[in-house]
Amino acid sequence: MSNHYLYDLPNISAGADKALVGTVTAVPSFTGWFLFFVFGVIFLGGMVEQKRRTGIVDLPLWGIIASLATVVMMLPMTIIQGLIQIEVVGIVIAVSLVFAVWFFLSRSRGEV
Amino acid sequence: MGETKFVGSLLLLLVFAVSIISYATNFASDNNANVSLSDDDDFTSLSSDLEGNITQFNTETNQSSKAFFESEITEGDETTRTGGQFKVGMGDLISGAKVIVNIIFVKIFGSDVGFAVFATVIIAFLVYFGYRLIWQTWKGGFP
Repeated sequence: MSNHYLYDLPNISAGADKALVGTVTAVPSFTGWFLFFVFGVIFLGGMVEQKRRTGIVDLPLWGIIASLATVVMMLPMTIIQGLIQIEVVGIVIAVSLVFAVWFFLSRSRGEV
Repeated sequence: MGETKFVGSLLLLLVFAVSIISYATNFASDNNANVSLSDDDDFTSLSSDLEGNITQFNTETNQSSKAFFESEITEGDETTRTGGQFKVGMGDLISGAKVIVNIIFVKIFGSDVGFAVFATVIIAFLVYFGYRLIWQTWKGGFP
């Protein structure tokens, strides 16, 4: 009985980075979703924890922290060919600018 | 939010945008990355435009501060006639914010005309809010 796979299996013997590039080649949106996951974990986790501890939530603050963390995760991915597209890079930077606009214009008197 | 806070917020926003674009571009250059932000013409021109706005803001504040120190108002007047020292920098900083908002909508939503109206609304409100703050400070409100 032969096994039919929907995608080409990643070649682990060529190295982990090649396996990852193979995965992204098969599913081009993989990198974008991974970065969205990173953003979501920090954004939602920080927001929920701040609400639990202090009773208030500073949404723009967690937005900018999460987006900067996503930028930091995204930049090493640009080194390897085929791992991330320039469009995803542009969107990550644009999202960080969105939260920067919201953050800096939402500070009240006395806040940073 | 007073005018000082608003101008400070816009200035920090422009500096943040220049910093993050420069960081990403220099990272790619230092590590010979395959994908670089410098390959994107929109972000390259954004960075140079914002640096120009910041430089122009610096020039205007220097000129305005010199004129302010040399100025005087007539005894009994509550404010200056032209209000020039309250207007300094607002135009340049809002221009920088406009460019940032435009590129946000282009990168996230594409060049769809339907979404451009949201960018127009945000930019128009920034202009409206900025000049209302100038008037509030000019007539003697909290700066």
